[in-house]
Amino acid sequence: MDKEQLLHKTLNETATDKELELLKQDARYASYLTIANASKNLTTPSFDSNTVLEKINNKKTKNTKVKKLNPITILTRIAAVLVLVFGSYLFYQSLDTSISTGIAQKETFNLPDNSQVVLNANSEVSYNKNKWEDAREVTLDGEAYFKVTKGHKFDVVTNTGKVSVLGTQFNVYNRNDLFTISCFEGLVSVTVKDSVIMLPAGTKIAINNGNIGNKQTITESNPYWVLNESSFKNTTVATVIDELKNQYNYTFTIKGNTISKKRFTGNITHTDIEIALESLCQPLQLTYSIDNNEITIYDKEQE
Amino acid sequence: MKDTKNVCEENTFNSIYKQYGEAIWRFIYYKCGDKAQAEDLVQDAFIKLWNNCAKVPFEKAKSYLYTITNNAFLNEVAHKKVVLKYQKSKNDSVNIQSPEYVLQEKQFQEKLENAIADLTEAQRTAFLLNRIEGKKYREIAEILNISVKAVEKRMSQALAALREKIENI
Repeated sequence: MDKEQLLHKTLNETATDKELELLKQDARYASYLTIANASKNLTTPSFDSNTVLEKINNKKTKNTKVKKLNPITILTRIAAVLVLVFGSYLFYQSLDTSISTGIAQKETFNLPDNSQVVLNANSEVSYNKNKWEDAREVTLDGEAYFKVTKGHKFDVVTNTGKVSVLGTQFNVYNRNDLFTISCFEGLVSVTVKDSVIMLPAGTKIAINNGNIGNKQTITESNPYWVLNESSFKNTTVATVIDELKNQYNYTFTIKGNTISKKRFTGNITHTDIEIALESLCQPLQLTYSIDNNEITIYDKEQE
Repeated sequence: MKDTKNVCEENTFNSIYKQYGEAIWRFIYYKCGDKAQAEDLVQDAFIKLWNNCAKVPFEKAKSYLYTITNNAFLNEVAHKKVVLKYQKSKNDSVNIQSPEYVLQEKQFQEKLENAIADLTEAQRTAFLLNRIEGKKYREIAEILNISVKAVEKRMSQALAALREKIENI
Protein backbone atom coordinates (compact mmCIF):
# COMPACT_ATOMS: atom_id res chain seq x y z
CA MET A 1 0.00 0.00 0.00
CA ASP A 2 1.05 3.58 -0.65
CA LYS A 3 2.92 5.00 2.36
CA GLU A 4 0.93 8.23 2.23
CA GLN A 5 -2.23 6.18 2.64
CA LEU A 6 -0.61 4.24 5.48
CA LEU A 7 0.20 7.55 7.16
CA HIS A 8 -3.44 8.63 6.95
CA LYS A 9 -4.53 5.24 8.25
CA THR A 10 -2.23 5.74 11.23
CA LEU A 11 -3.52 9.24 11.88
CA ASN A 12 -7.03 7.86 11.64
CA GLU A 13 -6.05 5.12 14.12
CA THR A 14 -7.04 2.34 11.78
CA ALA A 15 -3.52 1.07 10.94
CA THR A 16 -2.27 -2.28 12.28
CA ASP A 17 1.00 -2.62 14.25
CA LYS A 18 2.57 -4.24 11.22
CA GLU A 19 1.70 -1.32 9.00
CA LEU A 20 3.01 1.06 11.64
CA GLU A 21 6.37 -0.75 11.72
CA LEU A 22 6.52 -0.57 7.94
CA LEU A 23 5.97 3.15 8.04
CA LYS A 24 8.63 3.71 10.72
CA GLN A 25 11.25 2.20 8.44
CA ASP A 26 10.99 5.21 6.15
CA ALA A 27 12.92 8.13 7.69
CA ARG A 28 10.54 10.76 6.33
CA TYR A 29 7.43 9.03 7.66
CA ALA A 30 9.17 8.25 10.93
CA SER A 31 9.69 11.97 11.50
CA TYR A 32 6.06 12.62 10.50
CA LEU A 33 4.99 10.19 13.19
CA THR A 34 7.23 11.88 15.79
CA ILE A 35 5.63 15.22 14.97
CA ALA A 36 2.17 13.73 15.00
CA ASN A 37 2.72 12.08 18.36
CA ALA A 38 4.23 15.19 19.90
CA SER A 39 1.26 17.26 18.70
CA LYS A 40 -1.07 14.85 20.42
CA ASN A 41 0.22 16.08 23.75
CA LEU A 42 -0.66 19.68 23.06
CA THR A 43 -3.64 20.96 24.96
CA THR A 44 -5.62 24.12 24.50
CA PRO A 45 -6.41 26.54 27.33
CA SER A 46 -9.57 25.55 29.11
CA PHE A 47 -12.89 26.78 27.81
CA ASP A 48 -14.90 28.77 30.32
CA SER A 49 -18.15 27.08 29.39
CA ASN A 50 -20.33 28.48 32.19
CA THR A 51 -19.30 32.12 31.75
CA VAL A 52 -20.05 31.98 28.03
CA LEU A 53 -23.39 30.30 28.66
CA GLU A 54 -24.27 33.02 31.15
CA LYS A 55 -23.43 35.70 28.59
CA ILE A 56 -25.55 33.90 25.99
CA ASN A 57 -28.48 33.68 28.38
CA ASN A 58 -28.20 37.37 29.26
CA LYS A 59 -28.46 38.38 25.63
CA LYS A 60 -31.02 35.70 24.87
CA THR A 61 -33.73 36.79 27.29
CA LYS A 62 -34.01 40.17 25.57
CA ASN A 63 -34.74 38.42 22.33
CA THR A 64 -37.29 36.02 23.75
CA LYS A 65 -39.76 38.83 24.31
CA VAL A 66 -39.43 39.93 20.70
CA LYS A 67 -40.15 36.40 19.55
CA LYS A 68 -43.36 36.23 21.47
CA LEU A 69 -44.65 39.46 19.96
CA ASN A 70 -44.58 37.83 16.55
CA PRO A 71 -47.30 35.20 16.60
CA ILE A 72 -48.42 35.62 12.99
CA THR A 73 -47.33 32.42 11.33
CA ILE A 74 -47.41 31.76 7.63
CA LEU A 75 -50.43 29.55 8.25
CA THR A 76 -52.55 32.41 9.59
CA ARG A 77 -51.53 34.56 6.62
CA ILE A 78 -52.68 31.84 4.24
CA ALA A 79 -55.93 31.54 6.19
CA ALA A 80 -56.50 35.28 5.94
CA VAL A 81 -56.02 35.25 2.18
CA LEU A 82 -58.42 32.32 1.83
CA VAL A 83 -61.05 34.09 3.91
CA LEU A 84 -60.68 37.20 1.74
CA VAL A 85 -60.98 35.26 -1.52
CA PHE A 86 -63.93 33.22 -0.28
CA GLY A 87 -65.59 36.32 1.16
CA SER A 88 -65.31 38.31 -2.04
CA TYR A 89 -66.60 35.29 -3.99
CA LEU A 90 -69.68 35.16 -1.73
CA PHE A 91 -70.12 38.91 -2.04
CA TYR A 92 -69.87 38.71 -5.83
CA GLN A 93 -72.38 35.85 -5.86
CA SER A 94 -74.86 37.84 -3.81
CA LEU A 95 -74.78 40.80 -6.21
CA ASP A 96 -77.85 41.36 -8.34
CA THR A 97 -77.80 41.06 -12.09
CA SER A 98 -78.98 44.28 -13.59
CA ILE A 99 -80.11 45.15 -17.12
CA SER A 100 -80.92 48.68 -18.15
CA THR A 101 -81.83 50.53 -21.33
CA GLY A 102 -81.11 54.11 -22.33
CA ILE A 103 -83.35 56.52 -24.18
CA ALA A 104 -84.61 55.15 -27.52
CA GLN A 105 -83.32 51.69 -26.71
CA LYS A 106 -85.25 48.44 -26.13
CA GLU A 107 -83.95 45.16 -24.86
CA THR A 108 -85.34 41.62 -24.89
CA PHE A 109 -83.77 39.02 -22.63
CA ASN A 110 -84.51 35.80 -20.76
CA LEU A 111 -84.54 35.25 -17.03
CA PRO A 112 -82.95 32.08 -15.55
CA ASP A 113 -86.25 30.16 -15.88
CA ASN A 114 -86.61 31.27 -19.52
CA SER A 115 -89.28 33.82 -18.71
CA GLN A 116 -89.01 36.57 -21.28
CA VAL A 117 -88.61 40.23 -20.42
CA VAL A 118 -88.94 43.01 -22.98
CA LEU A 119 -87.51 46.16 -21.46
CA ASN A 120 -88.81 49.46 -22.79
CA ALA A 121 -86.58 52.50 -23.23
CA ASN A 122 -85.03 54.23 -20.21
CA SER A 123 -85.81 51.37 -17.81
CA GLU A 124 -83.96 49.05 -15.49
CA VAL A 125 -84.58 45.52 -14.25
CA SER A 126 -82.49 43.72 -11.65
CA TYR A 127 -82.73 40.23 -10.20
CA ASN A 128 -80.59 37.79 -8.22
CA LYS A 129 -79.42 34.80 -10.22
CA ASN A 130 -78.59 32.73 -7.14
CA LYS A 131 -81.84 33.22 -5.27
CA TRP A 132 -83.87 32.64 -8.44
CA GLU A 133 -84.56 29.01 -7.51
CA ASP A 134 -86.12 30.13 -4.22
CA ALA A 135 -87.94 33.25 -5.34
CA ARG A 136 -88.63 34.53 -8.81
CA GLU A 137 -88.33 38.19 -8.05
CA VAL A 138 -87.31 41.11 -10.23
CA THR A 139 -87.08 44.77 -9.35
CA LEU A 140 -88.32 47.19 -11.99
CA ASP A 141 -87.85 50.87 -12.59
CA GLY A 142 -89.52 52.02 -15.81
CA GLU A 143 -91.57 49.80 -18.10
CA ALA A 144 -91.27 46.17 -19.08
CA TYR A 145 -93.33 43.42 -20.64
CA PHE A 146 -93.08 39.97 -19.02
CA LYS A 147 -93.88 36.57 -20.53
CA VAL A 148 -93.60 34.37 -17.48
CA THR A 149 -93.18 30.62 -17.80
CA LYS A 150 -95.39 28.52 -15.55
CA GLY A 151 -94.00 27.80 -12.13
CA HIS A 152 -94.22 29.11 -8.62
CA LYS A 153 -94.89 32.75 -7.78
CA PHE A 154 -93.26 35.43 -9.91
CA ASP A 155 -92.90 38.87 -8.35
CA VAL A 156 -92.20 42.24 -9.89
CA VAL A 157 -91.23 44.71 -7.21
CA THR A 158 -91.52 48.45 -7.85
CA ASN A 159 -91.32 51.40 -5.52
CA THR A 160 -95.12 51.74 -5.66
CA GLY A 161 -96.21 48.16 -5.21
CA LYS A 162 -95.72 44.52 -6.02
CA VAL A 163 -97.13 42.47 -8.91
CA SER A 164 -97.38 38.72 -8.39
CA VAL A 165 -98.29 36.11 -11.00
CA LEU A 166 -98.14 32.41 -11.66
CA GLY A 167 -97.49 32.29 -15.38
CA THR A 168 -98.78 34.90 -17.74
CA GLN A 169 -98.03 37.82 -19.98
CA PHE A 170 -98.31 41.25 -18.51
CA ASN A 171 -96.92 44.73 -18.72
CA VAL A 172 -95.78 46.85 -15.82
CA TYR A 173 -95.40 50.60 -16.21
CA ASN A 174 -93.76 52.41 -13.32
CA ARG A 175 -92.63 55.91 -14.17
CA ASN A 176 -92.87 59.08 -12.11
CA ASP A 177 -96.02 58.64 -10.04
CA LEU A 178 -97.87 56.54 -12.56
CA PHE A 179 -97.99 52.77 -12.06
CA THR A 180 -99.88 50.85 -14.75
CA ILE A 181 -100.29 47.11 -15.07
CA SER A 182 -101.78 45.45 -18.12
CA CYS A 183 -102.53 41.74 -18.11
CA PHE A 184 -102.58 39.97 -21.47
CA GLU A 185 -102.86 36.35 -20.36
CA GLY A 186 -103.51 34.51 -17.12
CA LEU A 187 -104.14 36.29 -13.84
CA VAL A 188 -102.10 38.99 -12.17
CA SER A 189 -102.26 40.07 -8.57
CA VAL A 190 -101.26 43.65 -7.80
CA THR A 191 -100.37 44.69 -4.28
CA VAL A 192 -100.28 48.41 -3.52
CA LYS A 193 -99.73 49.24 0.11
CA ASP A 194 -102.36 47.07 1.84
CA SER A 195 -104.78 46.45 -1.00
CA VAL A 196 -104.59 43.51 -3.37
CA ILE A 197 -106.16 43.77 -6.84
CA MET A 198 -106.74 40.70 -9.00
CA LEU A 199 -106.29 41.57 -12.65
CA PRO A 200 -107.71 39.04 -15.19
CA ALA A 201 -106.55 38.72 -18.80
CA GLY A 202 -107.49 41.61 -21.09
CA THR A 203 -107.65 44.26 -18.37
CA LYS A 204 -105.36 46.98 -17.13
CA ILE A 205 -105.26 49.19 -14.10
CA ALA A 206 -103.55 52.51 -13.44
CA ILE A 207 -102.43 53.69 -10.04
CA ASN A 208 -101.69 57.40 -10.10
CA ASN A 209 -99.83 58.82 -7.14
CA GLY A 210 -101.16 56.04 -4.90
CA ASN A 211 -104.78 56.41 -6.09
CA ILE A 212 -106.10 53.18 -7.55
CA GLY A 213 -108.14 53.75 -10.69
CA ASN A 214 -110.79 51.54 -12.28
CA LYS A 215 -110.06 48.41 -14.26
CA GLN A 216 -110.11 49.06 -18.01
CA THR A 217 -110.46 46.63 -20.88
CA ILE A 218 -107.66 46.22 -23.39
CA THR A 219 -108.14 44.80 -26.82
CA GLU A 220 -104.59 44.34 -28.05
CA SER A 221 -102.71 41.09 -27.39
CA ASN A 222 -99.34 42.77 -26.74
CA PRO A 223 -98.47 46.17 -25.38
CA TYR A 224 -98.09 48.58 -28.27
CA TRP A 225 -94.60 49.63 -27.32
CA VAL A 226 -93.36 46.12 -28.00
CA LEU A 227 -94.34 46.84 -31.61
CA ASN A 228 -92.54 50.20 -31.39
CA GLU A 229 -95.68 52.18 -30.72
CA SER A 230 -97.14 53.85 -27.67
CA SER A 231 -100.86 53.69 -27.16
CA PHE A 232 -102.68 56.38 -25.22
CA LYS A 233 -106.31 56.57 -24.17
CA ASN A 234 -107.61 59.86 -22.88
CA THR A 235 -104.14 60.71 -21.59
CA THR A 236 -102.84 64.20 -20.75
CA VAL A 237 -100.32 65.68 -23.19
CA ALA A 238 -97.87 65.98 -20.27
CA THR A 239 -97.84 62.20 -19.83
CA VAL A 240 -97.59 61.64 -23.58
CA ILE A 241 -94.56 63.90 -23.76
CA ASP A 242 -92.98 62.19 -20.76
CA GLU A 243 -93.26 58.93 -22.69
CA LEU A 244 -91.86 60.51 -25.88
CA LYS A 245 -88.87 61.69 -23.83
CA ASN A 246 -88.13 58.03 -23.13
CA GLN A 247 -88.34 57.04 -26.77
CA TYR A 248 -86.64 60.01 -28.44
CA ASN A 249 -83.49 61.76 -27.35
CA TYR A 250 -84.83 65.34 -27.64
CA THR A 251 -85.66 68.07 -25.19
CA PHE A 252 -89.29 69.08 -25.23
CA THR A 253 -90.66 72.56 -24.53
CA ILE A 254 -94.37 73.33 -24.29
CA LYS A 255 -95.54 76.90 -25.00
CA GLY A 256 -99.01 77.65 -23.69
CA ASN A 257 -100.54 76.84 -20.30
CA THR A 258 -103.47 74.81 -21.50
CA ILE A 259 -101.65 72.37 -23.77
CA SER A 260 -100.34 70.02 -20.99
CA LYS A 261 -103.87 69.40 -19.72
CA LYS A 262 -105.30 68.49 -23.14
CA ARG A 263 -106.13 64.84 -23.51
CA PHE A 264 -104.91 62.54 -26.27
CA THR A 265 -106.15 59.20 -27.55
CA GLY A 266 -104.22 57.25 -30.18
CA ASN A 267 -101.01 55.51 -31.05
CA ILE A 268 -97.62 57.16 -31.51
CA THR A 269 -94.67 55.48 -33.27
CA HIS A 270 -91.21 55.14 -31.71
CA THR A 271 -89.33 55.06 -34.98
CA ASP A 272 -89.87 58.49 -36.59
CA ILE A 273 -90.02 61.70 -34.59
CA GLU A 274 -91.83 63.68 -37.35
CA ILE A 275 -94.61 61.10 -37.68
CA ALA A 276 -94.81 60.85 -33.91
CA LEU A 277 -95.23 64.62 -33.46
CA GLU A 278 -97.69 64.75 -36.38
CA SER A 279 -99.84 62.06 -34.71
CA LEU A 280 -99.89 64.02 -31.45
CA CYS A 281 -100.36 67.56 -32.81
CA GLN A 282 -102.87 67.18 -35.62
CA PRO A 283 -105.89 65.93 -33.65
CA LEU A 284 -105.21 68.47 -30.86
CA GLN A 285 -104.82 71.45 -33.19
CA LEU A 286 -101.17 71.97 -32.15
CA THR A 287 -98.04 72.79 -34.12
CA TYR A 288 -94.42 71.92 -33.44
CA SER A 289 -90.92 72.90 -34.52
CA ILE A 290 -87.69 70.89 -34.42
CA ASP A 291 -84.50 72.83 -33.95
CA ASN A 292 -81.47 70.56 -33.62
CA ASN A 293 -82.36 68.53 -30.54
CA GLU A 294 -85.02 70.89 -29.26
CA ILE A 295 -88.69 70.36 -29.91
CA THR A 296 -91.17 73.11 -29.17
CA ILE A 297 -94.91 72.49 -29.13
CA TYR A 298 -97.39 75.36 -29.21
CA ASP A 299 -101.03 76.25 -30.00
CA LYS A 300 -101.97 76.83 -33.61
CA GLU A 301 -104.15 79.77 -32.64
CA GLN A 302 -101.27 81.62 -31.02
CA GLU A 303 -99.51 82.11 -34.33
CA MET B 1 -44.49 9.45 15.73
CA LYS B 2 -41.02 10.92 15.73
CA ASP B 3 -40.22 13.06 18.72
CA THR B 4 -38.68 16.18 17.23
CA LYS B 5 -36.82 18.44 19.59
CA ASN B 6 -37.40 22.14 19.23
CA VAL B 7 -34.31 24.35 19.41
CA CYS B 8 -36.49 27.16 20.74
CA GLU B 9 -37.02 25.24 23.98
CA GLU B 10 -34.68 26.30 26.77
CA ASN B 11 -33.73 22.74 27.74
CA THR B 12 -32.95 21.65 24.22
CA PHE B 13 -30.94 24.78 23.58
CA ASN B 14 -28.89 24.29 26.74
CA SER B 15 -28.21 20.66 25.93
CA ILE B 16 -26.99 21.68 22.47
CA TYR B 17 -24.65 24.14 24.14
CA LYS B 18 -23.32 21.49 26.53
CA GLN B 19 -22.81 19.07 23.70
CA TYR B 20 -21.12 21.33 21.13
CA GLY B 21 -20.13 24.56 22.88
CA GLU B 22 -16.64 23.52 23.87
CA ALA B 23 -15.87 21.62 20.65
CA ILE B 24 -16.81 24.65 18.60
CA TRP B 25 -14.78 26.89 20.85
CA ARG B 26 -11.70 24.69 20.32
CA PHE B 27 -12.38 24.47 16.62
CA ILE B 28 -12.35 28.23 16.36
CA TYR B 29 -9.42 28.52 18.77
CA TYR B 30 -7.31 26.43 16.39
CA LYS B 31 -8.14 28.94 13.72
CA CYS B 32 -7.63 32.21 15.58
CA GLY B 33 -5.46 31.29 18.56
CA ASP B 34 -7.25 33.82 20.76
CA LYS B 35 -9.14 32.47 23.77
CA ALA B 36 -11.34 35.54 24.26
CA GLN B 37 -12.07 35.96 20.56
CA ALA B 38 -13.07 32.31 20.30
CA GLU B 39 -15.39 32.79 23.28
CA ASP B 40 -17.00 35.81 21.64
CA LEU B 41 -17.52 33.91 18.40
CA VAL B 42 -19.10 30.95 20.20
CA GLN B 43 -21.33 33.32 22.13
CA ASP B 44 -22.46 35.09 18.95
CA ALA B 45 -23.07 31.79 17.21
CA PHE B 46 -25.34 30.49 19.95
CA ILE B 47 -27.27 33.76 20.15
CA LYS B 48 -27.78 33.58 16.39
CA LEU B 49 -28.99 30.01 16.77
CA TRP B 50 -31.46 31.16 19.43
CA ASN B 51 -32.75 34.02 17.30
CA ASN B 52 -33.25 31.68 14.36
CA CYS B 53 -34.36 28.71 16.42
CA ALA B 54 -37.63 28.40 14.52
CA LYS B 55 -35.79 28.01 11.22
CA VAL B 56 -33.11 25.57 12.38
CA PRO B 57 -34.21 21.96 12.92
CA PHE B 58 -32.61 20.18 15.86
CA GLU B 59 -30.64 17.82 13.59
CA LYS B 60 -29.12 20.75 11.71
CA ALA B 61 -28.10 22.74 14.82
CA LYS B 62 -24.57 21.32 14.94
CA SER B 63 -23.61 22.08 11.36
CA TYR B 64 -25.41 25.41 11.60
CA LEU B 65 -23.23 26.38 14.57
CA TYR B 66 -20.02 25.30 12.85
CA THR B 67 -20.92 27.11 9.67
CA ILE B 68 -21.84 30.46 11.20
CA THR B 69 -18.88 30.40 13.60
CA ASN B 70 -16.57 29.73 10.71
CA ASN B 71 -18.17 32.46 8.61
CA ALA B 72 -17.92 34.96 11.44
CA PHE B 73 -14.29 33.99 11.88
CA LEU B 74 -13.57 34.49 8.19
CA ASN B 75 -15.27 37.88 8.28
CA GLU B 76 -13.50 39.16 11.36
CA VAL B 77 -10.20 37.62 12.15
CA ALA B 78 -8.89 35.59 9.26
CA HIS B 79 -6.36 38.23 8.38
CA LYS B 80 -4.69 38.35 11.78
CA LYS B 81 -1.40 36.67 12.55
CA VAL B 82 -2.11 33.67 14.69
CA VAL B 83 -0.11 32.68 17.76
CA LEU B 84 -1.55 29.75 19.60
CA LYS B 85 -0.83 29.21 23.24
CA TYR B 86 -0.91 25.76 24.67
CA GLN B 87 -1.04 24.71 28.26
CA LYS B 88 2.10 23.11 29.53
CA SER B 89 2.22 19.71 27.94
CA LYS B 90 1.71 16.97 30.43
CA ASN B 91 4.47 14.69 29.33
CA ASP B 92 4.64 11.74 31.71
CA SER B 93 7.90 10.38 30.41
CA VAL B 94 9.85 13.60 31.06
CA ASN B 95 10.78 12.83 34.67
CA ILE B 96 12.78 9.76 33.98
CA GLN B 97 14.80 11.33 31.16
CA SER B 98 18.25 12.87 31.36
CA PRO B 99 18.56 16.69 31.65
CA GLU B 100 19.91 16.88 28.09
CA TYR B 101 16.93 14.99 26.83
CA VAL B 102 14.56 17.23 28.75
CA LEU B 103 16.18 20.28 27.20
CA GLN B 104 15.99 18.75 23.76
CA GLU B 105 12.38 17.90 24.31
CA LYS B 106 11.65 21.43 25.43
CA GLN B 107 13.33 22.90 22.37
CA PHE B 108 11.52 20.49 20.15
CA GLN B 109 8.19 21.38 21.70
CA GLU B 110 8.89 25.08 21.21
CA LYS B 111 9.82 24.56 17.59
CA LEU B 112 6.71 22.47 17.06
CA GLU B 113 4.44 25.14 18.51
CA ASN B 114 6.00 27.83 16.36
CA ALA B 115 5.76 25.63 13.29
CA ILE B 116 2.09 24.94 13.95
CA ALA B 117 1.44 28.67 14.29
CA ASP B 118 3.03 29.15 10.88
CA LEU B 119 0.74 26.64 9.14
CA THR B 120 -2.07 27.97 7.02
CA GLU B 121 -5.37 28.26 8.86
CA ALA B 122 -6.86 25.41 6.81
CA GLN B 123 -3.93 23.07 7.48
CA ARG B 124 -3.74 23.92 11.18
CA THR B 125 -7.44 23.44 11.85
CA ALA B 126 -7.52 20.02 10.19
CA PHE B 127 -4.24 18.97 11.82
CA LEU B 128 -5.21 19.99 15.37
CA LEU B 129 -8.75 18.59 15.08
CA ASN B 130 -7.11 15.28 14.25
CA ARG B 131 -4.21 15.43 16.69
CA ILE B 132 -5.63 17.12 19.78
CA GLU B 133 -9.27 16.15 19.43
CA GLY B 134 -8.54 12.74 17.93
CA LYS B 135 -11.21 13.32 15.32
CA LYS B 136 -11.36 10.97 12.35
CA TYR B 137 -10.91 12.37 8.83
CA ARG B 138 -14.58 11.80 8.11
CA GLU B 139 -15.64 13.96 11.08
CA ILE B 140 -13.20 16.70 10.10
CA ALA B 141 -14.50 16.65 6.54
CA GLU B 142 -18.03 17.08 7.88
CA ILE B 143 -17.10 19.98 10.17
CA LEU B 144 -15.09 21.83 7.53
CA ASN B 145 -17.58 20.99 4.82
CA ILE B 146 -14.89 19.51 2.56
CA SER B 147 -14.18 16.02 1.20
CA VAL B 148 -12.16 13.34 3.03
CA LYS B 149 -9.66 13.54 0.16
CA ALA B 150 -9.20 17.24 0.90
CA VAL B 151 -8.61 16.44 4.59
CA GLU B 152 -5.93 13.92 3.58
CA LYS B 153 -4.27 16.55 1.46
CA ARG B 154 -4.29 19.11 4.24
CA MET B 155 -2.87 16.60 6.71
CA SER B 156 -0.07 15.62 4.32
CA GLN B 157 0.74 19.25 3.60
CA ALA B 158 0.67 20.11 7.32
CA LEU B 159 3.06 17.31 8.24
CA ALA B 160 5.42 18.12 5.38
CA ALA B 161 5.45 21.80 6.36
CA LEU B 162 6.07 20.98 10.02
CA ARG B 163 8.88 18.62 9.18
CA GLU B 164 10.55 21.24 7.06
CA LYS B 165 10.28 23.85 9.84
CA ILE B 166 11.58 21.57 12.54
CA GLU B 167 14.94 20.53 11.19
CA ASN B 168 17.16 17.85 12.61
CA ILE B 169 14.74 15.53 14.21
